[in-house]
Amino acid sequence: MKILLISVILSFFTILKAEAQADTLLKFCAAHIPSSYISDGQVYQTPVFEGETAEFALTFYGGSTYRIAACAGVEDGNLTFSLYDKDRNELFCSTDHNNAPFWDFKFTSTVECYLEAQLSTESTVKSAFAIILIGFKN
Amino acid sequence: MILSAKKYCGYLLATGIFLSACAGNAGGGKKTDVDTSKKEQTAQLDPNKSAIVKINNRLFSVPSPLQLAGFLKELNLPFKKELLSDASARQNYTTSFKQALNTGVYGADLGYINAYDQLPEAAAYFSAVRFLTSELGILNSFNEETISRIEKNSGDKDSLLYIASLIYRESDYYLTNSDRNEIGALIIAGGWAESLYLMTNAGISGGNTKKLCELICEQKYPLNNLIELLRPYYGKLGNVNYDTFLENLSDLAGIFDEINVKYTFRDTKTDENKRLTVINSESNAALEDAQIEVIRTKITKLRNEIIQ
Repeated sequence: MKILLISVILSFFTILKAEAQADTLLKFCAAHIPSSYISDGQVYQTPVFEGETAEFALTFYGGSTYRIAACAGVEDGNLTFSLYDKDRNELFCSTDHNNAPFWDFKFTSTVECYLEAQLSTESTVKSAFAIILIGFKN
Repeated sequence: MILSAKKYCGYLLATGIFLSACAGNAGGGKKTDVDTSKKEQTAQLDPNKSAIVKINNRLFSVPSPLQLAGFLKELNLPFKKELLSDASARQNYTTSFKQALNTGVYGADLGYINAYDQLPEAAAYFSAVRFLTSELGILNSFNEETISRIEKNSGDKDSLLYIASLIYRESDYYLTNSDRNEIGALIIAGGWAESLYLMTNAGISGGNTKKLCELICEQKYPLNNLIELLRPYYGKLGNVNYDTFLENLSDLAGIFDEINVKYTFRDTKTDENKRLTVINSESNAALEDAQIEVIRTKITKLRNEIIQ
C-alpha cells in the first residue's frame, strides 16, 4: 500500500512536470504570435519524427494577413515548414529563409493550402512534439 | 492538492500523449491512432510510399468565426441583433454535445458583436462562453488572470477579440491534450455553423452581393475540413445526435460540392526584411441565387437545432 502511494505521488509529480513542459512549448510558440494578430483559436499539434512530414489543410481568406509560427521544442528552427496551394505549387519554404520559425503571408484572394512541417535536417532533435499556430489580421 | 479521478485521468492522458511523443511513439491515447501512426511510420521508410503523416486529429483547419464576422462588417452589412443566439439560454444546454456546439455559437456571436462595436452586448456572451466551458470542465481557459484582463479591457474591442481568441486556443489545447478532441471539434463546428448562419442571413442585396456570395462559396473548403475533424468519432460515441449532426453537415457539403471554384496560380512575392510573402494566386467562385437559398435554409435549420 505504501509503495503504491509513493508510486502515485511520484507519477503525479512526473505528470505535473510533463504538463508544465507541454505548456512551456505552447507558450514558446505563442510568443511568435504578437497581440497584433488574432489567434484562429486552434492549436495544431502532432508528434513528428525525423524524416516524416506532417500535413495540415488550411484555408486563408483574401484580404487578410496571417502569421504562421512553427515550433518543435523550445528552440527556434527545429521545425521547418512549407506552404503549398491545392495544386501543390510551392508558395513558401522556411528553409529558404534560415529556418524562420514564423512568417507572415498576405493573401489577395482566398486560397486553399497545405502546410507541411518536418524536423529540420540541421537539428539534432530526432523526434518532437510539433506545434503550429496561426494568427490573422483583416 | 486533491485531484478528482477525472482530472487525474486527464493528467495521465495528457502526459501519456506528451511523453509518448517525446519517446518517439506517435499517439493520441487511442489504440487505433497508435496503430495507424505506426503503419504510417513504417510506410515512410519505404521510399516508394508517401512520407506524409496523417493522424486523425488536428490536421484540418477551420478559419476562426471571429475573423468571418469581421468580413461582414467590412461589407457594410447592417448589424442584426435578432440573429444572435440568446445568451441567457446557456443553462438549457445540459449535454456536453450541446454545450460544446453552443460554446462555438456564442464565440461566433461574440465576434459578430465585437466587429460591429456592440460592446455592451459582449459581457453576456463572454459570460455564456465562460459558463459553458466551465460546464465542459475545460481547465485553465478562464483563469483569474484572463478574467481580470477581460474586465480591464471591456471597452477595448481589439483587446476583447484578442482575449476571446486566446480563450478558444487554450480550450482547444486543453481538450486535445485531455483526449477530448471531439468536444474541441464540436466547439469549432458550432462556431462555423453560426458564422455561416450569420452570413446567409445578413441580407444579401445591393452592391456587396457578389462579395458576400464569394464569402459563402469560400466556406466549401472549411466545411470539408470540419467534416474531416468530426469524422473520426462518427458512430463511435454512442451519440445519435453527434452522428446526425455530421450527416447534416455532409448533406450541406453536397450542395457546396456543386460550386465550381476556378483557381489560378500566380507567382508569390517575398519581402525578406519584412518576413512577408504576398500570395497573389486567385480563386473565383459563383453561386446561383437558388443555391444560396438552399444553403441558407439548411444552415438555418441546422443552427436552430443547435440552439434549441
